Amino acid sequence: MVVHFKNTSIVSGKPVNKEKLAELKRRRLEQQAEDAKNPDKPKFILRRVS
Amino acid sequence: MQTTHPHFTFALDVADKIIKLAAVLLGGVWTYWNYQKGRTYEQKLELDIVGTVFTRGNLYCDIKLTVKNIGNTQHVVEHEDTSCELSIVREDLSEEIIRVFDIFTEDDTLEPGEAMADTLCWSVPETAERIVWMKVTLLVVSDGVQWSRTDLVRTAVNP
Repeated sequence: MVVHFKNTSIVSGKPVNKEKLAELKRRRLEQQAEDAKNPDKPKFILRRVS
Repeated sequence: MQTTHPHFTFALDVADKIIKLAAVLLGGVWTYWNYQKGRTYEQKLELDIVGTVFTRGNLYCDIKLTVKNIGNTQHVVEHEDTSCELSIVREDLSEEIIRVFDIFTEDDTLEPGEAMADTLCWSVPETAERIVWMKVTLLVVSDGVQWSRTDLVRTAVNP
């Protein structure tokens, strides 16, 4: 099973949602702490292509 | 030889000047209106999410995220707040964020017309049959303004 998806949009900028950004930041810090505790766990791959 | 009335010549001259002045003013207003509506020198971004969801034992997802500056001003991406959020929606419609990725970490400046892209690969640590949708949210923050785009992908395991 393979599902391809594509979404291209020109979007309007909005003032930052500080609560949402804080929540995302907290989650990223939690992830980093969890990754540090489990160094053998496979990490996500982030590859810059251009 | 026929001569034109002096007052008529004067009136024609005045009318000509008024029409020219009105044309210049109207042209200026039209140009300014187009400039304002086109937001030529304001921030404009095009966000692109392309990817594939597939099963190979587990459920896998690869996503290419692209952001392109289509305006005429420079963007400085704020890394601390720019991210990609990957969520799953189960058959009972419960939603869970799987991972929040740091993206576009190697560069921060987008000149007019320039684009930057990142690719993410991730395996979802859950039985694929329970997952109905995957939700990908791209959030870019630049100069105190946020730009976001969400894509909902239905997995073919649960067509």
